[in-house]
Amino acid sequence: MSTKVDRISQNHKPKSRALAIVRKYFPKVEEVADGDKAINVEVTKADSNSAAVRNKEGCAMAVACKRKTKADGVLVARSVAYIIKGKTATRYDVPQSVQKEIVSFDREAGFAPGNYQLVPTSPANRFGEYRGYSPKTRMGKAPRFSHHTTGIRTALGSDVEVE
Amino acid sequence: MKEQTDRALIIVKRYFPQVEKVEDGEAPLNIEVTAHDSDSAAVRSHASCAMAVASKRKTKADGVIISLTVAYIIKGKKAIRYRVPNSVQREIVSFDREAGFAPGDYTLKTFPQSLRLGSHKPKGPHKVAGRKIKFHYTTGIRTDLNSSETDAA
Repeated sequence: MSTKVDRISQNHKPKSRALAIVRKYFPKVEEVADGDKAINVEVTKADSNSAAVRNKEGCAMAVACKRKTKADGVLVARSVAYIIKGKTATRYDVPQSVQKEIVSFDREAGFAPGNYQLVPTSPANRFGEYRGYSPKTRMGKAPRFSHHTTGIRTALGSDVEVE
Repeated sequence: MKEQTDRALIIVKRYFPQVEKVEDGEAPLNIEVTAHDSDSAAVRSHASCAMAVASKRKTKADGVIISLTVAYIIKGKKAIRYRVPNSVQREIVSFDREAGFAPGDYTLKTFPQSLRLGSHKPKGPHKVAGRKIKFHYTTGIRTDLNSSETDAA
């Protein structure tokens, strides 16, 4: 049976957990915050060609984001992205349009050049907004069906994540 | 709105001219896609992609149309419409770019009440604070069902 912590979704992770994840890649980071404005990112053909598949720091979107934001580093997971500047990591949501390209890219079918966005996390999912599950939620019902996309980068926070 | 149903019917009739009625599915449809489905299917084809082949087998349908966001299961003169969830959309993009459709269990979902055929839909462009919302269009995949181009059924 899963514990309460296990059932917390990626976006509901407490700030300390997000910080621990980011620090695996960028140990000097000391603070994690939510982004307030969407970032427009242009992914070029060169980004797609120069980047590494199944790599959160070196994929086409990460390369393009790093160039656009002049960041020290970028982490692009399937549903969340962190832009690292100095000791601060800023968190954004990865929209569905980018998620589709990530799946294609990680399976070596390319990241289509074009204009994409990283969007701020929705108000309900921002750091400090987690209020727990209602005890009435889905009591006694079968677990909700979910499909996990395979053949792509590992999930941030999984045991096998750091390449 | 009747107009909405008519439009769906026109789209389906391009592929399956015998269809006379389009309805929304009432319950989600669980589909198992096998490695064999993925190998035997045709990329960028609405009617014979891996998900279409698997859906056809599961539902014993006369035909299936799978677009990026909407699926139609054809049985006789009736087409039943389902919503294609994000997990399937990602696989469709991968499949159409010749990177395979991962075998596994997927679901075709029902439309929420507000998006069902016959429900009211506001007209005009969506605007946020006077600005148009930016859309990204995924390329290198099957054509849009609304477009004038169609692949062979």
